[in-house]
Amino acid sequence: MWLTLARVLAREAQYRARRRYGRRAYRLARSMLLSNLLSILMFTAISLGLSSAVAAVPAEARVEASIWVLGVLGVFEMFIGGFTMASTLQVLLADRLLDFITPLPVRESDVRKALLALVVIWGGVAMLFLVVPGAALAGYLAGSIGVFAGGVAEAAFCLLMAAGLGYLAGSVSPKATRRPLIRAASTLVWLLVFFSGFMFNFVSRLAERLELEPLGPLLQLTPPFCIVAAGASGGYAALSSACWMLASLLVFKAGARRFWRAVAAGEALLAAEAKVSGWRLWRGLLPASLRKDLTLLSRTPRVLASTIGYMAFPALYIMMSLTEAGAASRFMAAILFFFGGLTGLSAQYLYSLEGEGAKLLYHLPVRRGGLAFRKACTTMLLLAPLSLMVLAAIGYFSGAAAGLLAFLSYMLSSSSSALLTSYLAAREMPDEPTAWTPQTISAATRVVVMIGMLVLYGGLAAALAAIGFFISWLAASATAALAGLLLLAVGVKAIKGLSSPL
Amino acid sequence: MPATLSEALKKSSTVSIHVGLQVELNCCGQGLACSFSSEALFISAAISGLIGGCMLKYIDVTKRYGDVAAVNGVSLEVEGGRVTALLGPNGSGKSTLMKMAIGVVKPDSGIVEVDGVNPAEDPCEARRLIGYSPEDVVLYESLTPAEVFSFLGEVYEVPGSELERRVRRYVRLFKLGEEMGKLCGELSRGNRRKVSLVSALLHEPRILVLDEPFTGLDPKSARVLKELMRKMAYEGRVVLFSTHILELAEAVAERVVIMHRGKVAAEGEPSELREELKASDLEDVFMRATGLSEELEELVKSLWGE
Repeated sequence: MWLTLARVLAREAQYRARRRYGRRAYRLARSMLLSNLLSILMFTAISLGLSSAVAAVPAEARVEASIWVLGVLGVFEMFIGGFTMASTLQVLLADRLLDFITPLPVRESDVRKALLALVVIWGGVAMLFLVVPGAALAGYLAGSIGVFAGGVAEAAFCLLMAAGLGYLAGSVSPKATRRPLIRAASTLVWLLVFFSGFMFNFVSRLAERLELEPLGPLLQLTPPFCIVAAGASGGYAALSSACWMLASLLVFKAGARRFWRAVAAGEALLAAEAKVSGWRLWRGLLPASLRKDLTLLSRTPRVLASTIGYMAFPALYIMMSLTEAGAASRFMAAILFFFGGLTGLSAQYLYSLEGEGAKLLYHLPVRRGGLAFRKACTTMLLLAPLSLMVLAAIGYFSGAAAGLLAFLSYMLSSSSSALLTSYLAAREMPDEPTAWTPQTISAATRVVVMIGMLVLYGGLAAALAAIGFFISWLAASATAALAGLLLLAVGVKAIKGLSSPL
Repeated sequence: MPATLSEALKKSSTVSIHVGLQVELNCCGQGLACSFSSEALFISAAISGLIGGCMLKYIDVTKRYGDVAAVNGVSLEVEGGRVTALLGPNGSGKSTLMKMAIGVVKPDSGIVEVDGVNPAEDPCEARRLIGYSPEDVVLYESLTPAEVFSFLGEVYEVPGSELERRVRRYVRLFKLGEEMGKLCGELSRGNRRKVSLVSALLHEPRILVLDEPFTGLDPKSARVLKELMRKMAYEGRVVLFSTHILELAEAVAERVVIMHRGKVAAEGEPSELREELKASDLEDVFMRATGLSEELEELVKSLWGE
């Protein structure tokens, strides 16, 4: 019974999660093995690829290198596992998928078992393959069976921890829309997810600069690195590992219990927790349609984090370039123009943000052009603080006139990019509301739009950089601003031409 | 329905004419909607759009989904001034017909006219004229009803103070006060329906199209909705709603249209239809018009036979 239940729930939750988040779709095969096969193959390749780096290290340092590599893989396993679990489990709660089971004569223990089985069905088994094949290879290269055994134990307990964290996050996430604190925490987590690669790179660079070799013994005590270390050499690492394993068990148990409580309480819990406060209609200078987008954005941590990431990354890069290369670099105009173009791409997120509410737009007197323009305006509004940061930074380094020109160049290129992206997204919206999902604008279309924008803004930026060789950077900035203005005009004209209704 | 103004006047017990504003004909306590002939031309300009002016018209409309004809050559006129109920079994084409009015579904052939506007060509203009509430309520789950209404106010260009007045009125009527600060995703089914209905009414449309509006409503709210529909019809607006609850249709609607397999199986006033089909009540009318009575009888027999 519980296995059938698990399968049914997994299929339904996965289907809905895919519609909602657009997670890469893979066919739901009939057996657990098949449904995990693709992930197993992918993770095995990653695991073996990374672990093969151990071969490049001198024989005497291979055990230490294995601890490092397998530890990193363990962290990945925890991260990906927890993230996958949380996003799919929250669908179970938010969509009340268990409600149909409640009136059936199904034992609570069966439902609990089914929920646990979901861990396996949702690729839990596949997660193990991020570490285990690597552990086998690293153990072979290091000539240590302890490395292999430690790796296997690490994989198992990282999975347990990931499942526990996934259960906890999944049970809390439906509240993320309502409670500002959970919303903020959730946004932070999503930002960590998106910036993990960037941060990893940053930490490695920092570690290189600070010469962190003396921290090697400390690393051997840090979970999950300590488990492989314990397998290889025992000692204090074994004690640390025991603590980590116990913590994993406790987190898993607490997570499962918390999730079960949330499932059992269901709608009643949500209704009881919803605080009734006073209400008032939106007033003020900011148009309601823009305010709607901003409100939806603030209540959707994942999209908010994506948008912040998209917008902040180029701005951060510009700041770093300013401090390293100097504001008066002859290529600064081109760099600003290019990154401005990239930030405008975030306009596409405002379409996913509509969610199921987009179907309401189809009943209203809304034209695609008007929608595209409003979305672009919201993007510009969001970009304004970043543009001001750029203005302030460049103004600080090389004077007000330069700052103003740079600001104009950045603002115009980002605004034009927002308009063009929004135009393309509005065109992509389906003709009938039933065809709408937050993933209507497919990943393929997004990639095409991104490549198109990269080519357009990158090409123009390259031309501007070439001009920078012959004229002063101030003149180059003015040229960039002019180019941005021209693109802005193109964007406005395109949107005006988009008169067809939704 | 009276064919001429003089006939209408004969039938009416009271007539009040507010020059340039509105004409009210009162017959047995009920407002009449009239299509006047040439003799009423001198005042038709004044009353245009208020009585008998609004019209939702389907002319030989067909819509197919693959091999299935959801709507098959339907010609129908829904006039302002009285409540019209659209009845029919599941899949008979009611919702499709309603969606055509706002241009969400475009007919394969035939024409739909919303007060002279073809929604297939200019859906935005049609949607300005229509207040539509779909069968499956669609709302922004992460917004509160107050926020949704604010957004709709801007879309329909309702001035701020007027929007505030209307929202407060409907919130009071539908007892939505305690729900206004909650997120739409947290509302019960009935309250979501109410929010959807208020959304359709906010811009005081000339044509009201409600798909299964009573689903999930508590008796009090259902009563309020009935009165609202009657009042809007009394003001000369087109009120079209679909339902499976035949008692409701009989209680509210002055005219019923019964759809079956994408076609209009019967239409008229409930009393006329009863007489015409020699039926005892609207349920009987429905069964006879759709040809389901024999089938139903056999089903019931087999049920008890078991």
